[in-house]
Amino acid sequence: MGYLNRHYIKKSVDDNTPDITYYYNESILQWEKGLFDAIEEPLVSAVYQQILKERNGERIESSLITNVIKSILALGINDPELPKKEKEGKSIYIYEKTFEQRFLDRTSEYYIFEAKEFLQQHDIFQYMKKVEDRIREERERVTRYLHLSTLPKIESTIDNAMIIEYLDQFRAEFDNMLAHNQIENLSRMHHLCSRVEGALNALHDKFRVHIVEKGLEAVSALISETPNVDPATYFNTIMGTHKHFDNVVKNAFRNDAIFRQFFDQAMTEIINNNANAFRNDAIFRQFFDQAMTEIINNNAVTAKFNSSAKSSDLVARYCDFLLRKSPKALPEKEIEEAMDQVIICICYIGDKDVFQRQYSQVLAKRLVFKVSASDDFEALMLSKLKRMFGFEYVNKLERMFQDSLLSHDLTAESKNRVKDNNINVNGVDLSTIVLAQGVWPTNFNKKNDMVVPNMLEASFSEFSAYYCQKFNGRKLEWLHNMGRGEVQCSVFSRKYSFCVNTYQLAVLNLYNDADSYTLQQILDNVGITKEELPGVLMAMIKFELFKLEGGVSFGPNTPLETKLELNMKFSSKKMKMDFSKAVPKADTKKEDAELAKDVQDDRIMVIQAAIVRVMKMRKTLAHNALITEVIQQLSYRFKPDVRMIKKCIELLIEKEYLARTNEDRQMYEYLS
Amino acid sequence: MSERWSMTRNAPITTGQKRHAPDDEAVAAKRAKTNEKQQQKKIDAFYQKYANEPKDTLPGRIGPHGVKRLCRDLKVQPTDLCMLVLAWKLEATVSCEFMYAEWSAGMKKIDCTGIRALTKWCSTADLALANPADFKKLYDFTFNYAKPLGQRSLPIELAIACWRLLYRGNADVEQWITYLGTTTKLGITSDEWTSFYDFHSTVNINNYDAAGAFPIIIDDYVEWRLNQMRME
Repeated sequence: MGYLNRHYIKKSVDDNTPDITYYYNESILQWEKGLFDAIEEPLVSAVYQQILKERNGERIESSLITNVIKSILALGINDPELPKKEKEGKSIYIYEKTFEQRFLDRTSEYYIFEAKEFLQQHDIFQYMKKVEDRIREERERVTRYLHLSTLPKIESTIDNAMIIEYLDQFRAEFDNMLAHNQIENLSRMHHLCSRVEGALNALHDKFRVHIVEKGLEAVSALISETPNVDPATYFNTIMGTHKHFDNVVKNAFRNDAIFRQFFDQAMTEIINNNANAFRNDAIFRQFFDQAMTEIINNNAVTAKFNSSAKSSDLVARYCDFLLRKSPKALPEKEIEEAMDQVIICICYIGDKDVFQRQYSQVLAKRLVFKVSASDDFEALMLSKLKRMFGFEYVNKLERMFQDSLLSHDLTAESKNRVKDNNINVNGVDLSTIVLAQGVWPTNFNKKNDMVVPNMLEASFSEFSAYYCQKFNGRKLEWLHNMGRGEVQCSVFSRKYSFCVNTYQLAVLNLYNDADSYTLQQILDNVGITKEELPGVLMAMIKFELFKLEGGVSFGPNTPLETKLELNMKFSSKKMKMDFSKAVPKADTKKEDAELAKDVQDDRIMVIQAAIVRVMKMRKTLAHNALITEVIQQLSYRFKPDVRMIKKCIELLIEKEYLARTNEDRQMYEYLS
Repeated sequence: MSERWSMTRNAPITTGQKRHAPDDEAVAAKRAKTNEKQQQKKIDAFYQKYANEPKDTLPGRIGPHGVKRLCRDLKVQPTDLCMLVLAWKLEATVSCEFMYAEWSAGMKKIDCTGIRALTKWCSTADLALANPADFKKLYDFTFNYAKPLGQRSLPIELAIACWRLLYRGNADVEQWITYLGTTTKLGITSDEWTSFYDFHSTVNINNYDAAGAFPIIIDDYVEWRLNQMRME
């Protein structure tokens, strides 16, 4: 027999001779026909009864089932679909035919019934937990004693019976769960829904809407409490929302995916849902980002100030708060963390170029007025901005910072020179900061015709001489509107010292020679305009260092013939007084308009540069393709509007950088 | 052999007969030349009639006053379309002026040697624009011709006059002109001028794409016009 099996039968099987098979196959076939077919139904029923017992919590002898399943699987060897020479039984057709289908049908009935009954006595959260448990149990069962191919089938059976039917009920609870931040339930729900194709889609937008709602609510609450929005509070409100939902995305929607991934690795490749689970997570993240963007660019605060730039203004001012010397400053340890939060926040701001402008404004003030808390933190913030938004974005900011650092050295060196050469500078201790042109905000570069007071003249010209000698060919212009100084006053019985700006200093200087001047004389001698006068005098009149002739009160319309007299009876409890800070605030509306115009002009340049860059590379390009590419190139800075790009294209055609092609007027060509 | 001689003897006769043709040609050419000379003479005289107008202080060419007188003789307005077509045919470079070279070559081209012929030509000048390709050529010519020397764009009132002239009261173009009146625009660039032709001749205002390649002024016009139509 062994001989027959090895030679004759093998050959016949190889030649596909009908009715001849190996002994083993033949005996199995006889077993199937003679015994199995007859007892198949009660046998399968018995197996299912055992499984049912186990489902209902009883202990069973699982090795019995294992053996039955094994023997059913062994019958697969005679699958007519399978070539005879495949000696090992790989087919599970008998398993599927006799056992699996019935098993799945009954399982489905079982769970449909269970779902209904369970929900009558329990709430939806308990139900979700139940479903999760059931899925886990069934998985274990399959791995323990069934064939692995049953796994996806049984899972989808449960999905159909227990999830798909109840999706609406899940969704109805979604907002509620979000509102109460039930991470565990959200996570479970995300898990269950992610099992059903498309079930999460409805949640994505709900999620976004919910975040937007909450975020806007928080901002509205903030604005109704404190109408003068404080940058730090605003920032913390926005980032509070961010943190809260970031947590939801991480814990409720992702850990679950990771869990799945580990489980799936252990399982067959059939359930390759992990990629899907991750994608869902990414989609949630995307909707989350959209919501954040919506919140930051369009909320009660921006509505109140009628400008989406208000958000970036407040964030810039929050940065200022972080980096400025202040008794309220955060502890050093927290500053870096806060900076990271700022970077996250800026990512959501649509017009990053506006933020850059605003940041440059507050940075400039910190550097010029020397109120920055630490150079190290300034540098750290700049490097964070650079890492996130690129070299070009921080270029000007970095150069401003460099100017400030270099100026420390220049001032020190100049002071040494004065000391070493015994130059008489009237005892003025001059600190200078040299600003590179075109790098600093435009309001730092206002032309002014102040007459340098004689007591400062020596030190100014000394520094000019030193600087021009050191850097041959450079031109130095004094920005008096930015100057500050401290003067000692020896008129009164006590020795007061005053902090003043350069204009005020020039005014005080006049009173070294006389006790009274008309306003016109002050204008002429100091070289300031009538408009600037209130800003210069107001504080000094308010603190009664000066008074107007005849006790008239001072205002913008005071006649210029009025005399301003030094108050010889001036006295103050404080020995040191600051007049420079009491300068009335510049017109914010005008400032905003200026900023908007600056940003606009900047954009026109930047867009044109981008168009030329693209066209230089492409030579000819269709209109729409050009627009797309330009938008894409600039998206890191701002969202250019199509109309503005078109305007820039027209400008470039006019300047003959571009031309429409002769064949197609929707195409442009680059003219070199 | 003799045969051969006779043949050769015959030959000169035929060639002799042929020799008459070049003679005719020469005569014809001579005649043409004299014709040409006469034509040139007439054209020159025609030119001299209007050139060097003292008021123009533009010696050596026909200046604005000369053109004015020409128009009077032709019994047309200086702003008549035919004057623009004439300028285009003559390839004139400066508006209201004709150089001698332009005049001389151009008059030959349109075969006019005197006021009568030119008057006749003028009465049918607009027929030359029936062909869209010719109209487009004239349209393109108009921008540079009407544009004041040394300027990049066409002042708005000139541009409007040109459009009126070229499109002769076309209702759509009149709407466009009405729209221009509501803007603060001072001049029309070359690109806007050319684009308007394309816009007018190819675009249906109802499926206009404002993100397309047309200049912004046309986007704005379409928006304005659609609003108008909605209100009507």
